[in-house]
Parts: sequence; structure tokens; C-alpha cells
Amino acid sequence: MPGAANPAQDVGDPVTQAWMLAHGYALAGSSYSTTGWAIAQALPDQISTLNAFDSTYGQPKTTVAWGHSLGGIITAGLL
Amino acid sequence: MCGVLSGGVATWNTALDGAFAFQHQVPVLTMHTTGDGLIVPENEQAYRSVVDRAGHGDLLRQVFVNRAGHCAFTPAETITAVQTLENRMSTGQWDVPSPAAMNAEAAALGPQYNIFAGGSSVVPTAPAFISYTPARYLRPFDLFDRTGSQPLFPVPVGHAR
Repeated sequence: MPGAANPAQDVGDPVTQAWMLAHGYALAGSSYSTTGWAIAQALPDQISTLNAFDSTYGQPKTTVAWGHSLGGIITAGLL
Repeated sequence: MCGVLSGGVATWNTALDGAFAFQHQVPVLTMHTTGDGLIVPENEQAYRSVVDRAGHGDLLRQVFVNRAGHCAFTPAETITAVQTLENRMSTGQWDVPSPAAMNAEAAALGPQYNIFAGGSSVVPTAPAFISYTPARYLRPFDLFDRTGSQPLFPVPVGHAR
């Protein structure tokens, strides 16, 4: 059943996004396949995002996982 | 957990709703506001205790921002945290500046990054890194069984990237 729009995000705010993109970083993020307390879905979704990035642009030299709030929990869970 | 940055994702372990295996072998920098009433900063003490117990304490550094609100960071503070972690990734050694030095780094990014956007208003906001030791987490926080180092929750899948 469709719910509210759930666009993919790769940064918490546009100002930080602009700085990152202007300083050699690429940003990638998923919207997770479900909303709400989506930890179980978000972990494989984030890995899939990395894999999609690799196959599209090539594997980056280094990767930083980051997130605010629930994104921070998910980041900790990725380790 | 608020504002976690981690350098490198090599493998991951499935976590069950916030109970993590803490088996990471990559550097982690956490950032938390001292006045976070939603996810209290004492969570960082709990995280530190579990990471230490897993034997990875040297991979973790934690910084704090003296502000009320949940994840209420300015872009400059976030960028400064990223740069601190990236320095660790490139040199292999932590060099976390003092709060005063981190504030100077953040301020030097320029006024356009030292803002706090709330709703439709954008307020100039000085960086507010502070030396802070979170108090002990207020409820039992023990992810491990009574016999030792086995995670209380199963870690079902190790999925190499």
C-alpha cells in the first residue's frame, strides 16, 4: 500500500551536501525499503546502495558511513 | 545514537533493533549534543562501554556539541567531524583536536556553514564543541551474556561486501 513519499537522501542538509560535493566527496544514500523503525531493512539497503554505486561509478578509494539519528544507529549497525 | 561517522565499511553484522555486535574494525567518530532530550547523551557512555568491552576502544572517539536539541548540529560542525575522521583514515592515527581547536576549524569554514536552520528561519550559530563526559546510562545496558563475551543477541549473518 503506498504511503507518504519516501525519497532517497544522502545528507542531512543541503548546505553540508554542497560543501561535500564541492570538496571531492560523492554522496549516496537510500530511502530504505520501508519507513519507520526500518533498521532491519536499512542495513541491506545501505549495502545495496554501496554496490549500486560501485557498479555505476567504480569502487571508491575509501567509504565513510554516516548518519544522523536513526541513520546513526544504522551506521553503527553496519560495522 | 546521533551523528555516527565510520570510516570504511568492509563487513557488516546484522543487528537486531539497536543491539549491535560491535565487532567493527574501522574507526568510528560519534557526535552528540549535550542537550539531546530524545536520545540522551548517556547513550554515548553505553556505546563506549560496549565498544571497549569488545576490545575496539581505540577505534572510537566521541565528540560533543554544547547545544539543546536532537542532532542539532550546524553544517560546520558536521564538516569538521568528517574532516577529523578522514584524518584518522588517511594517517592511521587519531588526532582529534581540542574542542577549542575544532571550534576554530568550524568557524574558519565561513559564516555560511555556521548556521542553524529551523523551519524557514536560518540563524547564525557559532560552533559549540565542548569537552564533555556523559554520565552513566541510566538503565542496565548489557549486550553480553553473564559468562563473558558472547553477544546476548545472535549475529545471524556476516555479509561481506
